[in-house]
Amino acid sequence: MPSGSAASGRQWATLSADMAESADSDSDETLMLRYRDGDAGAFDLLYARHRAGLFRFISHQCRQAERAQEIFQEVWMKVIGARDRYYPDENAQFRTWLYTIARNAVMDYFRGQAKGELQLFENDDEESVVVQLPAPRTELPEVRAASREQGEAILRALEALPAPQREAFLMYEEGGLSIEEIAKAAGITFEAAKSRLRYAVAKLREGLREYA
Amino acid sequence: MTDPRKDDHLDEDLKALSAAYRAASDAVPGALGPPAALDDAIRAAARRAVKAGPHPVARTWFSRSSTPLAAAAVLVLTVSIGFLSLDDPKVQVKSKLDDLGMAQPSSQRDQAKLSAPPAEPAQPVESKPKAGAQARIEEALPSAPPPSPPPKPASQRTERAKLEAAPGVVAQSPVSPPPALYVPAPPAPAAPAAAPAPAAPPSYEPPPAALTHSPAAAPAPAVAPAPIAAATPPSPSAQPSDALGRKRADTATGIRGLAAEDPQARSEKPTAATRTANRPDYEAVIVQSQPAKPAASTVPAAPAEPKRERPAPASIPQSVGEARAAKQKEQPAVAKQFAADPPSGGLAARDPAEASGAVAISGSRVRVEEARAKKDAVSMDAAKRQSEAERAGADKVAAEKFAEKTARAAAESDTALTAEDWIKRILELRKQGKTQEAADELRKFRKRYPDYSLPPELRDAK
Repeated sequence: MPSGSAASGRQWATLSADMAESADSDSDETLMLRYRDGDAGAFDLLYARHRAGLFRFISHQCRQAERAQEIFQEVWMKVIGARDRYYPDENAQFRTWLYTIARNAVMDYFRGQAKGELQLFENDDEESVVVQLPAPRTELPEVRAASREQGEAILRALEALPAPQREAFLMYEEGGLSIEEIAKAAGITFEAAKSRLRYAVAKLREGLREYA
Repeated sequence: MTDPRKDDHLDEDLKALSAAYRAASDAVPGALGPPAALDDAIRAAARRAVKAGPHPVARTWFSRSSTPLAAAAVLVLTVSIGFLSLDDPKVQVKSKLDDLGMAQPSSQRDQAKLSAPPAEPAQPVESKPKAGAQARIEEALPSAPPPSPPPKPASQRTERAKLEAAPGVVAQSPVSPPPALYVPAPPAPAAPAAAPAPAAPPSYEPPPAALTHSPAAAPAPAVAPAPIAAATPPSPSAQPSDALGRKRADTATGIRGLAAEDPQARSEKPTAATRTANRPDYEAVIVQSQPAKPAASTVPAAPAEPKRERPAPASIPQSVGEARAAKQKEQPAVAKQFAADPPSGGLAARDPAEASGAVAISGSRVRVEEARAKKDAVSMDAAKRQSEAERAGADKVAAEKFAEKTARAAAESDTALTAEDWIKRILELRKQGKTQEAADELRKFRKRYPDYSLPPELRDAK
């Protein structure tokens, strides 16, 4: 006869599997509405879907682990607090809403810690952005020490990107947002979002070629 | 068609980069997500938030009581407006007017629309639908008289309708003076006086002087009816009394209607006498606005008739000069009367049209005017009587002028028609040997017809 803890573990695994199946069928918006209506399990599913991507989005932007965790927690607390006001819209999906909150939190961080990068967001001229680029963090000793493998080259290239381009790439890669959703979350036009993404891709490819 | 927003090269680059990025991200320690403690803290916060339920909305006293307050305010406002509407005489008059208009038999209205009755029926209330029917009647008849005088101001109409709707007001025939201007008076003295009213010549009868006298009290001016009939286009029913009765029923345009018929009289500047003559109408409106109050008792109506210093019909001057002389005699008397007992509050000095507008402004204003009118009722009555006499004299003068004018025009028209006969007459005079008379006639003829081509025998007379 199995022990109680093992039985409860199997039972939890079964429930988790059921929840995972239902989570696959439910959209983010449905889960958020269920959580708004009092279903705490819906929030767990929603959190499980977006926790890693959102955390990477934040940590790649602010570059400080502790600060990234604070921002991450702040974002989810805002989601919890705004659950009563959440209303799904065709033009505003949950992911867009979530990454808009995260972006605003990161911008607040830039405002207090990295005003140089904030100016990059304010100045949307890509050519001037290139001119005003700070020294790539890949040239820093600690970063160079961290990049021991070839796969990490892209991360260094990502960190070397201007903040607006990095944000656009992370939204696309981690959040799974389309160019239109990126534009909506960042509050820019579609062409601007596409341009940022194109610049980011070009520079990342160049970085990969360098470290290949 | 391809989507202009789709960029194949960008998509391919992104796919290639995505794989490399995923591999690199997974290899980095700590890149999989936040620490477990942070996950637990966030989930616990989410559960606490769900257990706490929806956010308690801090409702202030105002937010709690805003709905009942709004409902109470709307209720109070509605009731206030309702009371104000009941208190407003204009609204009352309108409602009464509507009631009367609705109460009018539909068959009568239809008859008025479809056919022109030989005689206008007695209709004490001249409501708007009635005015429309009257207009249709006049349009339907080719020989209809010119349009009636311009409509009265709305305030006068409503006041009159209110007075007509007052209890105790007897409907009068169109020939008789308008019932609206009559206060329910003691019937005994008024009854015999009302008898000769229809027999009096309706033309140039002065407008009814409010409530101070009965219709019979108005003296019939000694004006020859023939010129007046010629001046006034006949009604379709060939009853000039109907048309004139309508005029008489129009209280506000009594004097103005007469002035409209006589351009000379219209061009005359309104004198103090005419203003004084119009004042009783205004005061009557004021006093009549409270039919329940014994306003008639303050103003002597029919019993005061013998006191009136009006010239008897027999003593009416037969010429314009005599009428003017009589008018000049009466004017000092009126001035003396006003000097001895001046009306207070400037009511008498006010223009009648302005005063009528003041009545229509608000009920409170009307009440003030009523109080003022009651206060001065006795003194104003004497002034009214004087003004009636004055007005009668002015009317007679105007009538005489018009008669003269009409006679002159008739004579001129006769002369114009007999131009050729005039030539024949001149020729006959010459044949008879009356050369001097013929020359005089020819001179007159040339003066009158300078461009007339004379026959050859008369051209020699030059």
